[in-house]
Amino acid sequence: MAAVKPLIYFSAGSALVAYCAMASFRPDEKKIKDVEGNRKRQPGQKLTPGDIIRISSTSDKPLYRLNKKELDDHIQSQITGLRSMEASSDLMPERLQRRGRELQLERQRKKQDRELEDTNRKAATYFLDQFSKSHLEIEDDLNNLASGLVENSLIPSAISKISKDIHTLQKYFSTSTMILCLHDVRKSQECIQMLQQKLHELEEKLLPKKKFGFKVRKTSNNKEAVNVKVVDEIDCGETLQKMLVENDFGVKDKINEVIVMRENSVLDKDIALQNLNGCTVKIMGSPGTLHMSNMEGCTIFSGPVVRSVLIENCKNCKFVVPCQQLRVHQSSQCDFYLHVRSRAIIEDTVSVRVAPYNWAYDGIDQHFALLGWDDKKNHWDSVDDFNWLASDKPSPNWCILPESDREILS
Amino acid sequence: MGLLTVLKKLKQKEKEMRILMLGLDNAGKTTILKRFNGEDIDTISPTLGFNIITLEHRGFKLNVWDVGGQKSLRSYWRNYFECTDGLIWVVDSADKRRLLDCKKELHQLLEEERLAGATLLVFANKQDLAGALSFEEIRDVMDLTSIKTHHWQIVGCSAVTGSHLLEGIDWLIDDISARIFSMD
Repeated sequence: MAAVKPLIYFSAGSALVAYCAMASFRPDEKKIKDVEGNRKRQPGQKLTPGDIIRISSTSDKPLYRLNKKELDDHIQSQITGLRSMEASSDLMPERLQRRGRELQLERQRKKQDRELEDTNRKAATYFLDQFSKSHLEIEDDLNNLASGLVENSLIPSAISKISKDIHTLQKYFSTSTMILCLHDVRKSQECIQMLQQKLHELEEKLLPKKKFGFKVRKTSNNKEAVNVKVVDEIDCGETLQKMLVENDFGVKDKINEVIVMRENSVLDKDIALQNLNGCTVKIMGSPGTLHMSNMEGCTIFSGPVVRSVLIENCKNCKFVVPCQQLRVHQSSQCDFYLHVRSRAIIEDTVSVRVAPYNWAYDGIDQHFALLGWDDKKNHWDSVDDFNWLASDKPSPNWCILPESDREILS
Repeated sequence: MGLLTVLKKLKQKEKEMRILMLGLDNAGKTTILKRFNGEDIDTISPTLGFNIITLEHRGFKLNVWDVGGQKSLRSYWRNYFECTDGLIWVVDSADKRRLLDCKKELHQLLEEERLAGATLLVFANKQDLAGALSFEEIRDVMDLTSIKTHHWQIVGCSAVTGSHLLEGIDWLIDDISARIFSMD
C-alpha cells in the first residue's frame, strides 16, 4: 500500500493537526472534499478518495515532534484504523442502508410539503376572509350612495373614498395571487370588477362630467380687454409719431408746386418730403439726409446729401441726387440721376432706371468740396436689389437709362 | 458633471461669445462693426446678407454677426438666433420717423424663445448728428424699461466718431461673462 502523504497541515490551538487527504490511494482522484474530519464520520461510512481525515496525535508525542518517517507511519496506522471500521460496516447490506436513507429523505420532504400546504391554506383562508370583509364594506358604501343616503355635497368625497378602497383591495389581491388557487383568483377578480363597474355607473349618474369648453362670457371679456389695449397702443403710437415728426423740416401735402430751398436753410438738416403730387423740388444745398415718401409725378433735385437718401412709395418720379447711400422701397417707374458713394439698393421696387448725376447750380462744386468726397467713387450704375438675390442673373427690376433717353433737367 | 457644465467649461476655455447685431436698415450696424474692427467706414453699402467678424477684445473672442436690416431680410433674422449670447440692437437716433417701427421690431424679437438667454445691448447710434434723440429719449420712446426678460442696457454712441462704442461692448462682455463663465 502506498504511503499516505499529508497534504495540508493546520495549526489548531497549541497542537499541530494534520489533515491528510487520501489522494494517494487513488492517484487519479485529486479533489479534496470538504469533510470535517474522521471524528464526524458515521460508523460504516466509506472512506472515499479526496476525503480529508483528521490525524489525532500519538500517545507519547505531539504531531509536530514526529519526524517524517514517524509521521508517515502514524498516518498509515490511523488510516488502517479507519479501514477496519469500514470493513465492519460492510457487514450491513449496502442496499438496505441506501433504502433506509432514501426513506428518511422522503419522509422529510413529505413533512415539508405538508407544512407548506398548511401555511398556504391558512393564508388563503385569511385572505379570503379579509377580501370578503372589505368587499362587503365597499358594497355597503356603494349601496348607500345609490340609495341617496349620502348628502349631495359629500358625494364626490364618498366616491373618491370608494375608489380608493377598491384600489387598495385590488392591490391586496394582486400581491396574494400566488397563494390562491385558480378558482379563488378568478372569483376575487370578478368581485373587484363588479365593484368598479358599479362605482363607475354611480359616478356617471351622480356626478355628470362637465363638458370641456370655454365660457362664452369670459372669452368676450378677454377680447375686449385686449382690444382696448391695442387701441391704446395705437393711440399712443400715433401721438408719439406726431410728436416726433412735428419738428421735422420739410415739405408735405402739396400739389403742382415748385419749391426751392436755399443753401443755408438746408445745411446738414434732415429734410422730409411727403405727400407731393406733380411738384418740383430744388434743394440747392447739402442736406444731412433726405426722406421722401408718398410722391407721384414729382421731380426732385438736390445738392450732395451727406448721408442717406430714403425713398418710399414713390411713382413716376425723377430724382437727381448725389448721396452717400440710396435706399428705395416700394416704388415704381422712377428714374435716378445719381451720384452715390456706396451701392444703391432697391427693395420691393420695380421699373427703376439709373443714369449719372447731371444737375448743377451755383456753388455746387463748393458743396461737394466741403464733404471731401472722392469724385471718382460714383457707383451710380450698380444697384443691389434685395428682392433679387441670384447673383448669376441681373435683376429685372432696374436697368441703366439709355443715353438717348437721358434728359438734362433743370 | 452635467452637460451644461461641460459646455460652459468648453466655452470658458476659449472665452468665446456669439453676438448678434440687429436693427432696422440704415441704423449703422455695419459701420459699428467696421469701426470696431478698424476698417474703413467710408463706403459701406447697405448689407445684402450678413457680415461676420471675429474680434479679440479683453481676451475674449467675439463672433459678431451683423445681419442686414432691410425689410426683406428681417424674416431671415431668425436663422441667426441659435446660440446667441449677446444681442446688440442698433437704433438710428436721428430717424424719428421709424422709431416706432424700431420699437415694434425689437419687442417682437425679444419674444423669440431662442434669444431668451441673450443679453441685450441697445446702441442709440448717430449721437453725433444734430437732430439725434438722446439715449434717454430713445429708452423712453422704445419702452425699454418694460423689458423684464433680458438683461439690457442702452448706450448712446456714434459709429462715425467711435464714441462710447467700447463702453457698450464692455458692458455686454461683462454681463455675458458673468452669466456664461460663472465662477466655479
